Amino acid sequence: LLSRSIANWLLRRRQLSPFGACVNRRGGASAALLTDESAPERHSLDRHVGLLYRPEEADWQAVTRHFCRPELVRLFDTLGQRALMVRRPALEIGERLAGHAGDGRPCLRFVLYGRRGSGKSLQMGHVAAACRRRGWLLVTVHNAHLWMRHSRELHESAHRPGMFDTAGYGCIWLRHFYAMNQEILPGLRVTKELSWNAKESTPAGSSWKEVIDYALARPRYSCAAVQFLIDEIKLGSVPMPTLVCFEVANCLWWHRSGIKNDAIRRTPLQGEEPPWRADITAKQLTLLDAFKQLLDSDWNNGAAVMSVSPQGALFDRLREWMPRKLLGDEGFAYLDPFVPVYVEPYGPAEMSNMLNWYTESGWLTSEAAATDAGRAELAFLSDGNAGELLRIAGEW
Amino acid sequence: MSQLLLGYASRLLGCQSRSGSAATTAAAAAILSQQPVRHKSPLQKVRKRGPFPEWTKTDPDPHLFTRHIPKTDERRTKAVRPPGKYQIFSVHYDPIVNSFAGHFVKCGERDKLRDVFTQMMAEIKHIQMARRNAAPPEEKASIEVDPTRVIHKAVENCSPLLIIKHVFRGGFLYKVPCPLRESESQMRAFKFLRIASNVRGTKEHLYRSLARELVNASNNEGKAVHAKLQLHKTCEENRAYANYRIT
Repeated sequence: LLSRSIANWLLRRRQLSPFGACVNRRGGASAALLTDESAPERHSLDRHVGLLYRPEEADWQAVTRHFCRPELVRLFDTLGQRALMVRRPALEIGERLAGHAGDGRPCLRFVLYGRRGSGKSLQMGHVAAACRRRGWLLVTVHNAHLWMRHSRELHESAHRPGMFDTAGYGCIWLRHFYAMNQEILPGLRVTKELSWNAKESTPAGSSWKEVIDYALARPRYSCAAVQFLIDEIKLGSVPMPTLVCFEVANCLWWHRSGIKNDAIRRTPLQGEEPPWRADITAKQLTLLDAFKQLLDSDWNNGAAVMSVSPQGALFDRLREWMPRKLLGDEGFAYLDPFVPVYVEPYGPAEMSNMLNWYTESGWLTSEAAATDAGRAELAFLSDGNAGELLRIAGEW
Repeated sequence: MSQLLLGYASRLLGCQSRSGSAATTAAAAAILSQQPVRHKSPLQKVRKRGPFPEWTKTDPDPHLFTRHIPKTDERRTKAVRPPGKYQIFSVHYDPIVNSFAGHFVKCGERDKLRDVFTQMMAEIKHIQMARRNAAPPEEKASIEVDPTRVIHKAVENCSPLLIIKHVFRGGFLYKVPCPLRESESQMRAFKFLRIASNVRGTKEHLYRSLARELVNASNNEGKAVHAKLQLHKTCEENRAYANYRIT
């Protein structure tokens, strides 16, 4: 037919969307869509890439749900089922980490980068779940950029003079850390004596749980507790390997924040109303500085997986998404050398699978979404971006 | 003119289920059957104007515009209105949802509203799916999950059949029940829904309150439908003045 030949001509000229090939639903079999392998560490590059898997309940509650957007968690609650896609970046990192631990090698650092919504956090979640099943200790930070936007309480730090403690966030993080590593923590012991102040101290040989309980009962010392635990990890007193996951790591080196320092005044900029209060950046926050120490390469038996995102470019409407621009000179020098891992947009097979899953689970309710033209439009509008597809599919 | 009235009456009687009350439509028809008073100047010209028909695509080929259009083709000479500014030729385009979105636009920021509407339709899905999950098996099929259909039903349930127009006559201001064009009725529905979804302060986002209001309206509950029923009630109370109508 004339229309078919024109369509082929345009496809060859790349005027049609590259997703044109994916719009036809390949045979109605769910076997092509979901994989039965629910254990993330057993996913392999040759068999499971592009397929969806159902995370186990224990993995989901402890680890994976913290890496998901609230919209995604709510979608899973509404649909009554969870399915995450197995993608190349997480499997490549997992392969490197499988043989990495216990050789006296320094901390291996991965930086996930990609456009906003491309799926960096979920890839980190996959790696974290796999490592937790291998018995690693998990140290994950999800909200560092939010800690820098809003401060609940700010105190001058006693254990690190000249810096500030965020006690509330310290407590929240310790609770989250305890819930994530509940099976491992009973076996861990502190090797040094921890002195909280002139009068109180926890002796060497106490369990990590005692330290965490102390800090939760005395929130003033929560950031100090985090610092002590991180010192222990860096000393190598932890028998199992440690995985550090840090979302939006570029906020650690950002020059702006939402927390103002009333004590410091500076000259106002042109057009600004005086007095202008200086921003308290991550360098002056003990909690964030403690996690930054874990991203250094001077400790053994562990690895760090970070993501850089424009969300960490606080109060700057940055359109950049490459690591060099987001980290800046200082951050790049600190993290260099690292392994950059690009989280690419969905390819045609992945997009097709994702649309199939949305249709089968019943999230795409309009009749247009089942047609070829509708699927092509969804693929075009989202441009392969996982987050955009999630947002747009809410409408269809 | 009586032809027009009969047309209105037949439309009302034909769409009884819209208002949900046969008594209302019967009352409306009774109001409309009264003859209005004519005040037209003999010099006023009556000129026949549109609306011109909209172009309907009989050929769904996406490469329509790259084709050579033959000289004898009626597309070269047929009088059609141009597409609307926000009308898109997409399988997912819905004219009612599009007009509804346009009603909420402030300061021309329609792009901002697009995001709100995307979230609002997802919110409708969440509400209805949660309700469907909790419902007993015999009621599950009757719960509508598609947000477009929910919006259609809500707009239908909020559309008034008559409105009050103020007529100043003999030193008194009368409230006169009058019929509506379909487009005006739809606009009134949008307005009821918009006002019903306004929440004071920053307590709730628009997408959330609007989704809730639409779901309620599609079930014939809520503030918007209540406003419409109040309007119908006022029309019923003032039915004696229906002959003061200027049409």
